[in-house]
Amino acid sequence: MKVGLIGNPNVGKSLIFHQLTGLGVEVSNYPGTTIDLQSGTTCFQKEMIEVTDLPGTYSIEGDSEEEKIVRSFVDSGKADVIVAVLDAGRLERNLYLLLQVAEYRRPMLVVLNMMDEAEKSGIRVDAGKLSSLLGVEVIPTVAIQGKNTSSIIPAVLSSVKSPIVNVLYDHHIEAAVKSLKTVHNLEWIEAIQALLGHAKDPDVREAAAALSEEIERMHRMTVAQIIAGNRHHCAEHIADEVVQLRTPERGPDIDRLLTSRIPGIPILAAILIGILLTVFVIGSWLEEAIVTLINIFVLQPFLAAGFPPLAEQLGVSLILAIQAGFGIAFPFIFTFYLFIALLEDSGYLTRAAFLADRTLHRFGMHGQGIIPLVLGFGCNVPAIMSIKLLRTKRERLIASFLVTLVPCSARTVIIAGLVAAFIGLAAAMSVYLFVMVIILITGLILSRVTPGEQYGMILEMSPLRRPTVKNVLLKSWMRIREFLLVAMPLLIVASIILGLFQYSGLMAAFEEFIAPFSEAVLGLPSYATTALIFGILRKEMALETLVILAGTADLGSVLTMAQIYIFAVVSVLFIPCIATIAVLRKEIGTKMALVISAYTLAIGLLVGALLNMLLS
Amino acid sequence: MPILLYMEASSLREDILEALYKARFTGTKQSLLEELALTLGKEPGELRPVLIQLEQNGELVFNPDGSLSLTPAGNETGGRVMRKHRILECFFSEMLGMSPDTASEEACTLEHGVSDEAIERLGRYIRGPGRSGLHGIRRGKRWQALTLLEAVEGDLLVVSCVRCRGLGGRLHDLGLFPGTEITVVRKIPGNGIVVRVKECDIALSTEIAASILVERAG
Ligand SMILES: Nc1nc2c(ncn2[C@@H]2O[C@H](COP(=O)(O)OP(=O)(O)O)[C@@H](O)[C@H]2O)c(=O)[nH]1
Ligand SMILES: [Mg+2]
Repeated sequence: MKVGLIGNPNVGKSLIFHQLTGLGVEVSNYPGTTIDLQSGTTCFQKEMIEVTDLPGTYSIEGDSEEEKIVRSFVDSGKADVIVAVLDAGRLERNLYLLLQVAEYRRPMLVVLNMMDEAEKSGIRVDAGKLSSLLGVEVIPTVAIQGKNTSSIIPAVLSSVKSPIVNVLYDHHIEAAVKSLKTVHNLEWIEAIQALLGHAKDPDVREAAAALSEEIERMHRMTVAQIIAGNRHHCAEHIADEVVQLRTPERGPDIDRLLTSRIPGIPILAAILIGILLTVFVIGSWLEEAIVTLINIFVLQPFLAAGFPPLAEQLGVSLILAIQAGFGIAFPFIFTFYLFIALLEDSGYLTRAAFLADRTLHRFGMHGQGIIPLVLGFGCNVPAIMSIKLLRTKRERLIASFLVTLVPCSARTVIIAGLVAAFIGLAAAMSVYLFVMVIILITGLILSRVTPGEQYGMILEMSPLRRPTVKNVLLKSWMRIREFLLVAMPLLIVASIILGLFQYSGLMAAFEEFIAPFSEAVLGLPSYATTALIFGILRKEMALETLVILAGTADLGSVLTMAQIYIFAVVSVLFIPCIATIAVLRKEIGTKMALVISAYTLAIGLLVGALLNMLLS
Repeated sequence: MPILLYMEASSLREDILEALYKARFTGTKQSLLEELALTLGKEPGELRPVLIQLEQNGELVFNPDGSLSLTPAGNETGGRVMRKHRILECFFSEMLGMSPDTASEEACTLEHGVSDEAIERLGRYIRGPGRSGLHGIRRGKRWQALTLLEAVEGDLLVVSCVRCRGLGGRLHDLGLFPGTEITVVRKIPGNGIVVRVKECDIALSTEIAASILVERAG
């Protein structure tokens, strides 16, 4: 038996899915986080039930990716039962989607979730009346407290019905539907879908198009608009019948504080800077601990064991890769994820997107672009993964360029460990400033030259909610797992290749080859260039390698200040790390991943060369 | 030809006021002469005499830093021209089915010639019976359309036309549909707007707000 969960974004589908199947899926107080289909099974009275969590949509008639997925899911009859999840506090808008789904006359069940929030805002929904109007069972729930969600599966097995609710359509639409039905021998739903332009059969499509044109001429509105209007009307009518409004309990208007220019924007800045600083402090401390532990308990015993040279080189490469993975994943990325999860679940992230909208417009994006950019400061990998939230290809492209340039926590380690330590805090800040200016310029240029349309932002604001510890931890854990799955294999492969290079003497040859260039252009000794290349594995490894190759941790004694500064700037700018390149490839394709890498390489070398000319 | 020349000059005057008016709401910087010229596709030299004339008419002032700002009278004219533009645009694309770009171009030329009365009647016609359905405004009351961009926090509005490239469908799905009542929850000038539609708060960018035509309810 198959069950599909359908509903608007942010109504609790994923949470209910999680409670039914026990599977970890992302539950977020941010619209549009579920994009892929997720399936899981649950057993009840010896019956095996497969539950699918569908992406949230506001409609299923449009041609966005999610809408197509949901429409074909409903249309194909893949599910034996459709469970429509509604937000009781926003019933009317939710009913608009429900009415569309109900027209397919599949066996259905309605879950009226968020009863607690509705109650708080003084909205009372008469579930019995709603049930009799729709003709299907309605189960009121509070998923976040687990209230009543256990009665969903028994109801799915015993009391699903086909809905009986009918939208009163304009009589021209009805007439066209009737004519399509008789002439082409269609079901009612096929006929109305044909009018909306979704017919598969070319003959039907043509006939429907002709009829639509006729109607549009008479009404001075498109068929889709007329139909949408009729459905809105019906939803409003039903909501009027079943919803009772009382005066809500009023608390202080926190939302006003968060979304006004003052103090909203200072609060946003304080939150972001606070998070970055905290992650940096906690992260560097944890990273050092992890790297030291692995050195003492794994690397040194391994070296002491005295394997044959090739095996030893491979083993060391593997350990370095694992060290790189864990050294960056848990200290920096996980800590960062915790904060982001908090922002997300509290509903603050949508407010941040609203506040940032204007600024990001200048870079050819809109408010939602703030999410990848902020994530980028933690680690570029999850940041690139999150560009899915942006709707157009143009925005995604611009975002991936900019995110790749954002100094992630690993690059912060270089800036802190090298520039701040050997030159001074002001110099370290100047590196940041440098990178920011480059990001700004890149953004301004990209927003002019990138092809494609730019639409503005239409974003539903998530309600402010109290995040739960469990969900924050669970979500961060799932994300870090995904990161490790994507990044680990690559780190291992890259590390082993580099190791073999070193072993076979190719690295030495390369160093010799690069030496004149490195000295002439960047003013760096050739071993520093090698260190830069190791930075591709994991950015702050450039620093570690530099220390090893220089033979001393007191870099000030072997490199001039100008060299240190150039090394830091170049390693911060040039070529994203291997894990970033991998996700770039996954999200925007091999070609663009290469273009971005080439761009950062060019910028890195150019800036390095310029600095060399200026400073020496 | 003097009449034609006169008309051209007067439409340029209106274009300038419209551009400055829009700039005030979208927060884009156009208050410098060069920027203004760029937006309008003219040479700064062409604009200068017209600007001086506008200043003499008391519709705009040159600030000491070289930027321009509108006087209340200028604001009034600028706003009126922008509304005319939107209504014509809406009429051409929604009613006559012209492509959005052509509709915008046509509106650009016609906005200067059309009278206030004609626009008001056209607005009524767009909103006409059956279109706004539920929440018709009481007859006899002066009808005044504005774009969502010009609304202020706390306004109670009724949507009269949504004309939005590419995303109109999404707005309709969210309930921003002709006839729906909405309230402006938050507005940061130059940074978009949050409206409450059917109990949901929706954040919109300025360019989207500019393409939604509304009228004040009540
Ligand atoms: N107050 C309250 N919050 C809920 C309820 N159900 C879900 N949530 C929260 O609503 C947000 C959205 O949930 P999610 O399952 O991700 O929604 P989806 O987008 O429909 O998959 C999360 O922050 C949940 O914790 C509920 O019944 N009451
Ligand atoms: Mg979800």
